[in-house]
Amino acid sequence: MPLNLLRTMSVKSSAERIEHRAADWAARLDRGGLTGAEQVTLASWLAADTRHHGAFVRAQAALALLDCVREDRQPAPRVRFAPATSRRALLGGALAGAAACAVGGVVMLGEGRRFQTFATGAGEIRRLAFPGGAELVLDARSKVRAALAGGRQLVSLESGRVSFDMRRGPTAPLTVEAGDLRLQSSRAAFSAAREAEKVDLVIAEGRVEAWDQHQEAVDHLVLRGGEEATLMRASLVRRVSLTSDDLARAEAWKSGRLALDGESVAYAVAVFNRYNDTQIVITSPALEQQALVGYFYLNDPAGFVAALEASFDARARRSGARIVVG
Amino acid sequence: LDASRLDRRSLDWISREILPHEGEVRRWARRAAPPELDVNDVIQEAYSRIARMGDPAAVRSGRAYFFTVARNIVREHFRRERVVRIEPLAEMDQLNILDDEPSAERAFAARQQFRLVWRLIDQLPDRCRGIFLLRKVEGLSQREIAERVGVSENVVEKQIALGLKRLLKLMAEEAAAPVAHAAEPPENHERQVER
Repeated sequence: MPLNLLRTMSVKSSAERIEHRAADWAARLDRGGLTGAEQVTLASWLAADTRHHGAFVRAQAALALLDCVREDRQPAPRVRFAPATSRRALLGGALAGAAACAVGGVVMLGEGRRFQTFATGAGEIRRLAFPGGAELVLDARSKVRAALAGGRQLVSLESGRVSFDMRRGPTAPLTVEAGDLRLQSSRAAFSAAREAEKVDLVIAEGRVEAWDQHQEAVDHLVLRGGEEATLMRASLVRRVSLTSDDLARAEAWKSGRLALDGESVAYAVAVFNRYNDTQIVITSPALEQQALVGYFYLNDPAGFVAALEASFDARARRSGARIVVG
Repeated sequence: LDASRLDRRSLDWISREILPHEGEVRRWARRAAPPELDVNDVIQEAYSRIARMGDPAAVRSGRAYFFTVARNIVREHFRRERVVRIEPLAEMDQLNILDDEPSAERAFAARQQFRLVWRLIDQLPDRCRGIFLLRKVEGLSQREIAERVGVSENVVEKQIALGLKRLLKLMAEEAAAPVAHAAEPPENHERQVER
């Protein structure tokens, strides 16, 4: 999958937020030279998402458009920093950009665990990547902090679900923390979902080590491709093997889809409602228990409801932000 | 990503050759893009790619280029999703994008854009409009405006940002209402524009 990095696939529109932020930066730049700290902040923001970059270009162009009303104009103040080494560099891109700023005599972001926080809202799926390293997909309503320090990729999963893919090539070792739980891997594809002290792991490929940070010396639990495990306060409570179909379905969320294989309508509705502002309400208990098979786009509750109508002779009507099906 | 290395020339080129066609590209993308792909995202991504393109002199038609970039973004999305969606793809292929546009059309687009700018400026709250005119017509720096008006530089910057946000919003909304319903710009301004 050609991940066009830095790119955020956002199911819910965050475009307006980006547009406003870009306008703020364009106005700030229009005022004059940026301080070192501002250059760093701007560099990180631009490197985090190509849409940020595009919105910033658009805002600057719009401001320049206004210059058409005046012929003689002063050159616009500019901020300079070296391009990030790779377009795919997200976390690292930000850090590289920040480090490059230092050439201009400003802040150094080299050593130390400097974390950046990434959080998603309802229905928003974000892709992030370490430069030349792990690629992350952050599920809706999730929050991680990430840093590149001492040649290690560090990710702290605060809440929600995130997947890691390090299959593209040799990468620096990855350490994930989720409460007391520590995970480590250098070449694997897996996802971790955290709900308070409970963590679910699905290993698609490779090898992942898990341990409790307070019991570093005890043998680490080793999980391998095709396994799913549930840990409670870093202790294993469940471990099962997955078929390749199970795996494919477990990973469907990453492309914004819901994969169903015999799950109930009630289950699917609960998932849709978690991802969308539009809420689906099922009034018929019999319909709620029907089993579903297929892939559905998570950001398209109306499409899902249309499928229900077609399959189960149900009727839907809209009522404000709700779709009532019975 | 080196947005800020965007030199004045590229920026001017984008505001002159690309920006005026945004409404048209938006309208196209709204039909061609699948529902899960936000048109705003396509537009922002397109600006980013265009800014990274390099020498604008190589581009004959900004409009055709803007369309091509947007179309590639939508196509890549389909490929990435690996979901076959026959209808929108078919529609997209049928879409006839001209390689070049008559200069009259271009001049028309640019003129529309000027009107848009003046309509926007007219719609701004008094204080914000005053600051915009000082910045863009008088050519004062934000600091000079702060001194002249007797407010802090922060206030000036905030007002510029506010006005810019309205302009950006209006540019996107133009896509929904393609026909110019713009009021004529004030006479004195019109002359400056025409020069």
